[in-house]
Amino acid sequence: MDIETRAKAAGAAARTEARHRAGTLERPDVASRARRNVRPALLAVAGCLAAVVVASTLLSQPDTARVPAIDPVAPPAPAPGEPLDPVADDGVLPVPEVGDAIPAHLDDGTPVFVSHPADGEVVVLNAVDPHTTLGIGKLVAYCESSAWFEDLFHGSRFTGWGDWTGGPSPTGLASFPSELAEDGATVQVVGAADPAPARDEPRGPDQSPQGPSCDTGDTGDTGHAAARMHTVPDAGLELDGRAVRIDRWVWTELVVGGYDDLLVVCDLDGTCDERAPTVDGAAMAGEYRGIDPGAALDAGPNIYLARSTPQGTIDLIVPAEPADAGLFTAIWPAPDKTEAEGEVSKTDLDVGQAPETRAGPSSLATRRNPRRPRDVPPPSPTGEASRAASSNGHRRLRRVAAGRLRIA
Amino acid sequence: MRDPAGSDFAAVYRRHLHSTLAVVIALRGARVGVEEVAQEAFTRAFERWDDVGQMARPDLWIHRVALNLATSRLRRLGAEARAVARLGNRRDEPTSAAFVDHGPFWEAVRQLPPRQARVIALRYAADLPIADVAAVMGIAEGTVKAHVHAAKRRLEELLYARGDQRRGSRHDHDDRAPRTEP
Repeated sequence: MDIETRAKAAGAAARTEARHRAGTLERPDVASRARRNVRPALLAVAGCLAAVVVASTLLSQPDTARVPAIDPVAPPAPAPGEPLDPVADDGVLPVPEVGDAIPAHLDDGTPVFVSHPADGEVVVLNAVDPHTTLGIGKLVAYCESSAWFEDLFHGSRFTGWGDWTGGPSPTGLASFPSELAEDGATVQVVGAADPAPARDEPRGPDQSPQGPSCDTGDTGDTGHAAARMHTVPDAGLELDGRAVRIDRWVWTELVVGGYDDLLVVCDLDGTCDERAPTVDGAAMAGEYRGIDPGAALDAGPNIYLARSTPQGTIDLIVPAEPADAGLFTAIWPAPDKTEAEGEVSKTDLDVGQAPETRAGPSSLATRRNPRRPRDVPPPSPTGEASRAASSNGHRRLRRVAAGRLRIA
Repeated sequence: MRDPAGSDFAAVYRRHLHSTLAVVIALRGARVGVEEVAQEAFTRAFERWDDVGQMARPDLWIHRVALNLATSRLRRLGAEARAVARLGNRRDEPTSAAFVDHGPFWEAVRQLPPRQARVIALRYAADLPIADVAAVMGIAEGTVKAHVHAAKRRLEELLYARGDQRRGSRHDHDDRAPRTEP
């Protein structure tokens, strides 16, 4: 059977399967919409965000009009000719040709490069530059001409193995433990990121640049033709009415929500309390697409993109009767320099049983923290992060291991 | 706000639910929770029907949303996880014999690069013409054709030439000298 015939038959089979399964579904109607909207959820925002967000990173304020961004009749132009980066399925990513590297994302969205610097040697590197500026993360790019990874903002460079060769980055790029498939076509990430290698402890051999650097000194410019960069996963396909600009700043994807009627109070990082410059509702709205302070937040999974590394606390309100346990996911880049060891914090938030004390609407009080001069280093994250639940009924997330936050 | 419940939303839902769900099934397999992923796409369309309903092809918008939901773990997580929790005793298995027979084809599709997989799913599971696939994906028709072509070639490898697989595509591309130096 030729492949076209087989594809058509398989397509028909998928539709048959769909017909069998569709019976369980109900057409959305006004009643179901009402159910969605009444979720008791709300976002209180105590958050402190980096007020010192580099102004140029806040190019566009969210368009609060709930207009679908997607219009198939006239779709927004994606990056010209560029496919979306591969996204891992169960950690499995495609392997580029020898001497090449491709941007990709792990299952949870963590931006990585799959690098194939020598035959049979494949490394999966965290694309987050260990060097941060004002707590704002950025991604390195793969420079095709030099065959190095380069920070086009500040000039850090890394070999195809992710080893540091120059620039302000304190370390090399962190890598993920991975296993190369027998056929060499795929590689599977099998664990959390290994610590980033020190500058003088390279993983791979010395590697000279193959050609000119992509760093032309135009910091912030995205017009480096030979530099291969990440696109935001599904960029521009969000539904909240704003085209997502593709650039190399770290975009934070924060998933809020989970099961109906259960929201959590998250304190994403204790250290941020100490650093929080200001808490400003408007700034928060400016940072997070679709979140209006105090506005109803759909308890279903919502994805918010932040243009910069958020610093601070996001409080969600625990409704009076949490219904169920569930899994929450947030992806959170290292919030400040002290933790910016090239690691994107991936948090799987295991939500436990209903809290002893429950936060009702009265406990919406946002926590604010005294302003702290930015040049004072924050206290050790571990000490700060180990604080447990606060007494006001908010449950807090406690960092229990690098990259993991757990509700206390 | 006008009530769209009795309006053409119902017709769009009726006409396109199956093809939308088929794409999700093609990309995700016959798993618990795929229905909810498709449902979520329609729910979003419903919530924005004042806008979506004005589009020339609301069904393509829905396809696009469903595709995103099906292929982004982050977005899928909520709907699917809810369903898995609710239907935890159900097993991930096809409900139709036809889909069992064609399971290997879709498994192979899922090994394709994501864009190729999406194109194949839209083209064959949703039975969309190339122009519509291009609209859903937001890419040119020529690009769709190229993806379809590349995908078919790879599918042939995966489905018919397993014996040769160990030689692998990696080595087929070794024509370029390694850039590394010792």
